[in-house]
Amino acid sequence: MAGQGIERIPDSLGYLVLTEDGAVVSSGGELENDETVATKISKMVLTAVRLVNTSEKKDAFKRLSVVYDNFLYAATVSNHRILVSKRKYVPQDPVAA
Amino acid sequence: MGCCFSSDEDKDTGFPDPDERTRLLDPNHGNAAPPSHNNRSGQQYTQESEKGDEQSAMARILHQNARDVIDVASNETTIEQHEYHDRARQYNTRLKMVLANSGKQGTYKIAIPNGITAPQSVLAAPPVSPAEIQLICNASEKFSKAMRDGVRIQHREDLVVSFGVPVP
Repeated sequence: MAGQGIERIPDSLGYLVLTEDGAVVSSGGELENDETVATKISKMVLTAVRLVNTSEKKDAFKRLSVVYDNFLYAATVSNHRILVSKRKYVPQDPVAA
Repeated sequence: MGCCFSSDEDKDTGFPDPDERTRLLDPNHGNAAPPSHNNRSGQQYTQESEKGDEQSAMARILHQNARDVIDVASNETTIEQHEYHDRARQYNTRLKMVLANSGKQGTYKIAIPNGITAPQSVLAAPPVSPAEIQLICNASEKFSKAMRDGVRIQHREDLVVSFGVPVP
């Protein structure tokens, strides 16, 4: 229950479970006790949540991806918790120039 | 009503109706000794000259401590349990009024939505494809370029046009 299953995501390098105000509830892997990333990602999530101002359920905030060359942060919101997963990033198809 | 900061009289002393400006600790109470920094540092300097007298130094520290400590429990104006709740409710009402008047309602705490029920599947879903990222990057680059170079505003007519009003 601690990580709500996000520690078992394939290709996962680390995870964070945060409260609404960005405090770390649980963490693991490369993100263990990484409060710097926690603060930054939670700020981004709060911004993204406020950006989407709609009552349509299908348009509501679902996932925030921060993509780097070799890894990515995926963040989502569930049950008043911000869940962040750091995953290996292997581009599937080559970039169409 | 209206202005929340209108309590013009200072109610620090005595026992008025408790509001958000009522002090929890009575400043006139005997326990709260006035700070005496100058006095104390002077004592310390004389203290250093008396070498070896650890006992008296310890006693002095204890005495100083006892003077400086504000003993909350010994204060006569004890707040009862139900008074805490009353005050909390009162402060919350005041806070809401202030926030409503300032037009910043709710911004002191950002609520996040309930979100999704299966976070692990969303997080485990395949990442955004590079082609899509490229698409968005190209598009936003074009937009910013267009805004920078292309869009010019020319004054043609009045910004506010009134309908149904006969032009004189």
